[in-house]
Amino acid sequence: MNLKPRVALIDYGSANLKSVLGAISGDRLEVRVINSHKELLASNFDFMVLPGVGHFTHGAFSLQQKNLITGIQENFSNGTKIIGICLGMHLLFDNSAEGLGSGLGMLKGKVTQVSKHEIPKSISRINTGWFETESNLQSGGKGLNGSYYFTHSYGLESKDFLNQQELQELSVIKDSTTVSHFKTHQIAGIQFHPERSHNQGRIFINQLISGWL
Amino acid sequence: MFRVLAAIQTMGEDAVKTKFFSNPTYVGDPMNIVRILNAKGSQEIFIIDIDSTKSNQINLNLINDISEESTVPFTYSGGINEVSQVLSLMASGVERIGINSLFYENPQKVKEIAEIIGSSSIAFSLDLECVEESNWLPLVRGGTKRVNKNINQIIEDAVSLNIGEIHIKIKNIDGTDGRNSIALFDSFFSSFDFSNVKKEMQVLISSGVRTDSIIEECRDAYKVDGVILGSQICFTNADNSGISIRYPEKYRIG
Repeated sequence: MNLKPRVALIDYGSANLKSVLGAISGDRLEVRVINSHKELLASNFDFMVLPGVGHFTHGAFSLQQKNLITGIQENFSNGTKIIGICLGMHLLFDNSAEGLGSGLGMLKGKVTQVSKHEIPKSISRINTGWFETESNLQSGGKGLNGSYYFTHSYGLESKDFLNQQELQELSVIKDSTTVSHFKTHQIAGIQFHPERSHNQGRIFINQLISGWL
Repeated sequence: MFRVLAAIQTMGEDAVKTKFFSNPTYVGDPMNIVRILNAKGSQEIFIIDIDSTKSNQINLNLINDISEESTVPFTYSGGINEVSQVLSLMASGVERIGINSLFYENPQKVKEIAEIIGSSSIAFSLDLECVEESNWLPLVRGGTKRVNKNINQIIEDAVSLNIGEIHIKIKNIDGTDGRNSIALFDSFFSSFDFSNVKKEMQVLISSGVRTDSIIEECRDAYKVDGVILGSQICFTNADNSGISIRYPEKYRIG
């Protein structure tokens, strides 16, 4: 009998699949790369991981073109938890200021240009590099402090986000309002790239999954 | 944290380091160098395939292997001409692609790529040669050809094409001991105004950063977002003798 939690790593053509697969693969999880509606509904997945590198419009279009939206939403309605990484996190929302197209609409919130957030002066329109993160204590929940690799020009802002979600965890880039990660009882979003954040990134995403088990 | 990228130039299956954009010296096995850089806490890795620029063939097998080995983000540059190549590279785990020739030869294609992968995933290498004081010439095709285009116009075009990162790469100091680097950086940054560009894109210095004090100068005096190290990570001595893979301790992760 297979008791390992099942993870669907969703391949929609806008993703760094190999590195994410490397980061979450292990003895404790059964990870499958999924790229069709049929495959998504064929197994009872405990988790879905939506990775992403790229432009919101292309990501939204790719999800639609590959006919993956309904399957993701059906699994979610049946209780499957979902983790969105970078663009994958933006796609959990209705839309993004980055461009046209509809996301999965699982959460209410605004994906906005990072340069319009409350940020240190050193951050330009493109926010790339290793940044310290810190818990946002206003959430009433916990967050995880650390240093992780970010590369993005759009993101969530904690002040827009706090009132609308039942948060278990929320962290921001240090001294800014830009969300680093969040977690509710069924959804997690990670703005940075845990799969490319050395060992601490791999530990982070595996702890995030373990916290739900 | 100030960005410090470790560049690995490749020729076929070998890692090399050029001097003045030519004369490649063998420095080891790329996979082995990636492993060492991972262990040393390198922030980011930059793979530059100098063969691909000539052949337009991308060594995807090597990219796949590096992707599996690397625990940090990596940028790939060399021989990129088509959207399909970019998608294959991204699927292989490349975080960002670097371009040079395509920018001059097919800007529309660059725009198309940026619309697919987003600004933060595309970098433009502004390859330059200083032929006399303050006379800067842009270069293309691995530094082998000059381009007849105004540098201010090039920078403006890079912003309008939605490119998220610009790498300033100077042939005169590539692979050198760095003794002329500061004078050339002074000349470059006094000739061209980057204050508005820095609001729109990341600006990195990509050659002549041979010592820790030059890294600090780049950060504090020129206020760029990061540097790309070549010789400094490969060679023990200033004359490019003694191969040893290194990464500056101050900028390590973990």
